[in-house]
Amino acid sequence: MTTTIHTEDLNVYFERNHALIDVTMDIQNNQVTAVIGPSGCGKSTFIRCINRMNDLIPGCVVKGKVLVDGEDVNDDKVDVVDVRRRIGMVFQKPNPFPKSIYENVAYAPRLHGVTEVVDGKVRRRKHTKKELDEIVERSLRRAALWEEVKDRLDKSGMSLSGGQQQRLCIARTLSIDPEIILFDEPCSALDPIATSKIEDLLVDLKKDYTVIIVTHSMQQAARISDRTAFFYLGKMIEMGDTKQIFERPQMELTEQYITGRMG
Amino acid sequence: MTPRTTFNHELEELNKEITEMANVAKTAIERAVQMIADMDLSLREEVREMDRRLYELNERIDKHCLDIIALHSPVAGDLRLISACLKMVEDLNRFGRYAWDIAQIVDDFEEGKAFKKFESLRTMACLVVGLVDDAVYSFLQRDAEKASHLHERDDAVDALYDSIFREILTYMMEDPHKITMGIDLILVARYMERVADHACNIGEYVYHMVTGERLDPKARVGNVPQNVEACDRLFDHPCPRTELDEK
Repeated sequence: MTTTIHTEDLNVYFERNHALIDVTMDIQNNQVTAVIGPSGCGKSTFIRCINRMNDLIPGCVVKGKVLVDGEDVNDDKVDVVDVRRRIGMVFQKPNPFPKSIYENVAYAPRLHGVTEVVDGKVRRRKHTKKELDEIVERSLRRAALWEEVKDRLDKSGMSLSGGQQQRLCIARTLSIDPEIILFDEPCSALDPIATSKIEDLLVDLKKDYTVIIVTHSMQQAARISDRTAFFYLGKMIEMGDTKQIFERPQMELTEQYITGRMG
Repeated sequence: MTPRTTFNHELEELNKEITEMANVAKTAIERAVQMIADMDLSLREEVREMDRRLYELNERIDKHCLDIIALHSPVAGDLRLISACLKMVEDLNRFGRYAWDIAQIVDDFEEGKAFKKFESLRTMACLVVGLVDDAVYSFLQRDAEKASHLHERDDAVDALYDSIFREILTYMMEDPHKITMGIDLILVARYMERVADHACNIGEYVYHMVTGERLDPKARVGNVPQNVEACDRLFDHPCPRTELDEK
């Protein structure tokens, strides 16, 4: 298993608040990695470092390295738009655009266009209608939503149920073919059936993508992840195979948290 | 408020139940062995009552464990405790069953004094009580070290059983009138050998519960003591020969 993401001495400050302290960890390819810990422990801050979402927060300072396939995403030469294309993100609350289902998925590919090399020159062009149709169908199928919406692609994305909206957001992320997908508590606003569908989807997605999920549900982490990292007060306390973490944690703090005696 | 108050309360209750069961199971074996040692037939009903109690506790604890799993989703050390309890109750219940089987044989035995004359059997009984005692102790004290050594002593019990079996077989071949008595003696030895196996199972569960590791099966392979003196050396508390040697 190769390492996709490697962080080294990662520190994040929100003005005087030291939110993430010396986090060094490896996240491997084609696995689901769960990040657990009590509220305010730095889980979301950590995954937002991976695609530089923290840049959008005033007063936030990030120190240390976040290497994705060996390249530091915080390097000045790195195009942040390209980083966020390669590393997609799905949030806690489903946030489809107030557009049709089709347009929700087609929006990002249309924005990015197609980059191709013609006669030795790099050229960007718009997608053809047929290409966009293919991307929309492929992305919706991959997000396990196609069969439910194929007859109403022109309907508003907002008309879907919560679980469907979340899968639409996942399809939207998949439309520009990312390598890594970050999920920040993707099921916390969903009912158990919708949650179960998203969980099945995440497990399926790891065949093609590297998946990182922040979750408050330890059972969810146990059900779907291959590896689990436990954060507490800004530090990564322990990381290991999920079975090991939930059956035989090495650190007392981890045991206390997962058994519900702390946090 | 301490987090997971209800869950902690359930675990405390479970611990009380399994402690009671362990103590009853240990006492049942001790009483059955006492019947052999002293030919004290008055203990028969007490053993029967304990067997019944163990059966009830088995049912109750089994249900309680499943309730806790269903309602509280235990993990890590809590899960290992419940897993150990779920498996242990079966072994402890078997203690009661075997104690009662032994009590019935001793009670029906026409020539009860043969037990007293049969030194090896009484030594074996003594070793088995020590093993059961330590298995229960290792659980109550969460003593992985003690639990990890039970297998060595089980090998000694197995060796004694083989020896007893051969010896009784010889008597039966010599005199067919002793076949009924011989079979009874072999059955008692067999039940005690099985009790020792169940005590070792408990040791395995305790070791996993405390450490999160499984006992290495290769660790069982070692020198098996072939005589009673060698068996005695394996035990912290040697057999109370003075009581048993009365003839």
